[in-house]
Amino acid sequence: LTALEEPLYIDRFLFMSWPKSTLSVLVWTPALGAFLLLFVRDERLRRRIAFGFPAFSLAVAAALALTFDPDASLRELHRWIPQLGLAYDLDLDGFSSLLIVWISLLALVATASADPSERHVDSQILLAETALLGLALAGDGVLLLSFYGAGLLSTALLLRRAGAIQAFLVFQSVAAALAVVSIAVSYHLARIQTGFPSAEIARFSSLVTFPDFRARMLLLGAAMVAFAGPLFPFTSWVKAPGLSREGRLLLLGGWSLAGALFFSKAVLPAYSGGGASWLPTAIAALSLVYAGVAARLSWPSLLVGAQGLVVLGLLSPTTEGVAAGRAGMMQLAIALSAIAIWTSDTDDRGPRLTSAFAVAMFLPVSWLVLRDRWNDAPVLAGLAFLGLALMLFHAARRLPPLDRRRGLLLLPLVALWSLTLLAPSRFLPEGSGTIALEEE
Amino acid sequence: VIAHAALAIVPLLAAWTLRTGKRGRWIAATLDAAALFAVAIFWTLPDADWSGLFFSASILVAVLFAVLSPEEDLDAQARLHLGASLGIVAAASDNLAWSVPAVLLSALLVQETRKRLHFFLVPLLAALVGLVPSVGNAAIPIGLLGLAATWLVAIREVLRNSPASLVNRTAISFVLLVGFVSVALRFPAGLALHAVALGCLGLGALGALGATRVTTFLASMTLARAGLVLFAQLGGTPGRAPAMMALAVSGAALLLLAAALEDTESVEDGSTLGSVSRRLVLVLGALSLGSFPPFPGFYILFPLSSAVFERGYSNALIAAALLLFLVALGCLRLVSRAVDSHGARSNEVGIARAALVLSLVAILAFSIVPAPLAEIARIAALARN
Repeated sequence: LTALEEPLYIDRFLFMSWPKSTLSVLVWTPALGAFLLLFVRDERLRRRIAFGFPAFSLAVAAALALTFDPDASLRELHRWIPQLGLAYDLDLDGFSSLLIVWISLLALVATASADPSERHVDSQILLAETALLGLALAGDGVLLLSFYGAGLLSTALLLRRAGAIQAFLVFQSVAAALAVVSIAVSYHLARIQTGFPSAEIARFSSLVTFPDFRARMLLLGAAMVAFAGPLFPFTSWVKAPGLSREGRLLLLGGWSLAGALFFSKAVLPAYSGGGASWLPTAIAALSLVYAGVAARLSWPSLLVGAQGLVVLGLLSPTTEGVAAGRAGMMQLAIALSAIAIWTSDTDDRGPRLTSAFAVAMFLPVSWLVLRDRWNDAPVLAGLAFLGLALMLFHAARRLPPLDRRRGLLLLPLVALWSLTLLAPSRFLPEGSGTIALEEE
Repeated sequence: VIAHAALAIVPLLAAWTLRTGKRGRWIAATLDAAALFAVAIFWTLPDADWSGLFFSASILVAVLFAVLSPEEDLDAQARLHLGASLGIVAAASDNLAWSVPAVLLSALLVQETRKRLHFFLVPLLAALVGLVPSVGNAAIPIGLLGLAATWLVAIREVLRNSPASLVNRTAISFVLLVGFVSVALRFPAGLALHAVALGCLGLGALGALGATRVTTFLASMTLARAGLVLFAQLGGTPGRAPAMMALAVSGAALLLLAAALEDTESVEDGSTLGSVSRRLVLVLGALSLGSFPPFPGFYILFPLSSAVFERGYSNALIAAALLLFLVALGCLRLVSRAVDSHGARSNEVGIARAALVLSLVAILAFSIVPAPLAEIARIAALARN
């Protein structure tokens, strides 16, 4: 369908080493697999499709990440609803080149973990993969929200129980509503400042606004992350009981990215620098303290603590801090997915081991973020450090002996985590030039 | 005039054929489809009344969908066609002296009203006062409020007390909605429109969150969507195209929801549906009504809010955003029941084929390639000036 749409004029001048529809192929391949699964009755064929489509996505994503060139980045731009100024805009940057690899790998692992007797679970995983890939690549605000909504619903489907779904949806709907308001404000500003309606995210950074207005919009975006993330105290929905393994994997490894990703893509470029970031910073630091003093270092508290660290990084006044926050976003997803590989919280050794892993994986990024925040907000950085130290203490005290067989399952995650450490420049925000990280 | 007269006569003919029995249903469906085809032809004519054609097409699609759905009560379908004919007259006429009585008459005709006639009479008289030219501008708010109250009573009566199928009842309430909105969009954006729009949204939000009966839920959703459409009118001409799109999306979504909830009594029954396609249609309908991304109707929120904000209605916009959020939460209440995998799936009734086809076409047209609808709505909105 996108090939039928007329490309925008800018599309003709973009130099790209890949065919123009590569990003669409990557995003929509899993959805096509989900659609095909509706009509397939044969169990073997079903499993082949369920594995084949995410495997193909992973191959394309890996090839795109390996050949990524910041000077010839891939972008697909078509008219979608020209009357409303909305475009079908997919854009690959350094950070999203890593994210797409992670999301494709996650979908494959989730499919492998899923219970084959549950008939529609493979389709749901594939739909969630499409939504998350779209979320990572969308370059138009309304398209981003469309993928956001689709991801939210497909993740909710994996929660299975009406009570858990309702709690999740209520909190996430607040986040989605705040995200819609944020994009609607940017859309309106773009319309009155340029004369043409547009939700193109790249334009948001050139919007002219007063400092107090920027501060309010930043708070709005931070509130969105607090509900979606979640941050302390909006943590009620994360204790979803009876969560399936694939549901937990996609919730922790995939959906945990959504709120912070929206914040870093659509809010920070337009509204950072307006001041008043102390409130979200304080909430983020409190989230780390909450995770540190939690009675048990289980996935809900780890998720909240790690999200706090990510937000601390994203709100950092320096480019390096923001890059560390973005790196943290990805490492949060990888680290917490390790916990989801174990069957349930009742099998205590697995979560204990992987909780320790999760905290350890976060240490390099934590060091960068906290060191950076120490310069501008020493009290809050101190609080956050206290929370992190308590988390470490919990993890070290409860560390069980390593089970070799299950430890093997962690290998791909550790490998990808190590790879993310090898490519720090890809986490730098757009337009920050070629600033070399000290740690590089 | 000839085009609109022809379009208004076709449902009358269909109503007459429906009286002849079940074979008449197919003739009626053919007549409705032919009228829709005629709308497509009239649309290409220079100087066509695009706005009137847009409303007529919305009415005809709803009527066709209802005729194609299973229904034992042919009398109700005949009443639906009478209402549709009057709705087309209301939408097509430029003169309020024609269109207001047409809407009022259709509200009286579509449901047996003898027992509750007094409910109709007071707002009906108020609506007619608005038409008296000698009273002047002061009567306009009274007229609008009276019209809104008549419409409100009519959809409540239709949805809650009619013996017809849920799809048929919803189609009737949508036809009334189109007639009401086509008239209300001609009123200036003043305090009365403000109050009616927010009042409808507020009542709709309360009903969506608290309703236990399916019919109350559907009536609340109809109210909320009417509120959204009227609210867009506050944005003037730039807000009118999103209003038109919201109306079209509302029709498709309300009918889908009704088709999925047929034979159910309470909202809780959503968790007892056995058919996957029926649950899917239910989810699609509910999420579309809640303007949830990426479902139909979500993207119109951006031009709509921008237009309303530009006119200085910032406080009303915040109130409307909050109420819309509550409506969305009400829709999610239904969705969470439909996707609950631990519910007892005792209701094994499937879904009508017409509902499935409409759901796929509506989702494709309104979500994936909405540009043609946006263009049609833009042309229709500009024609209303």
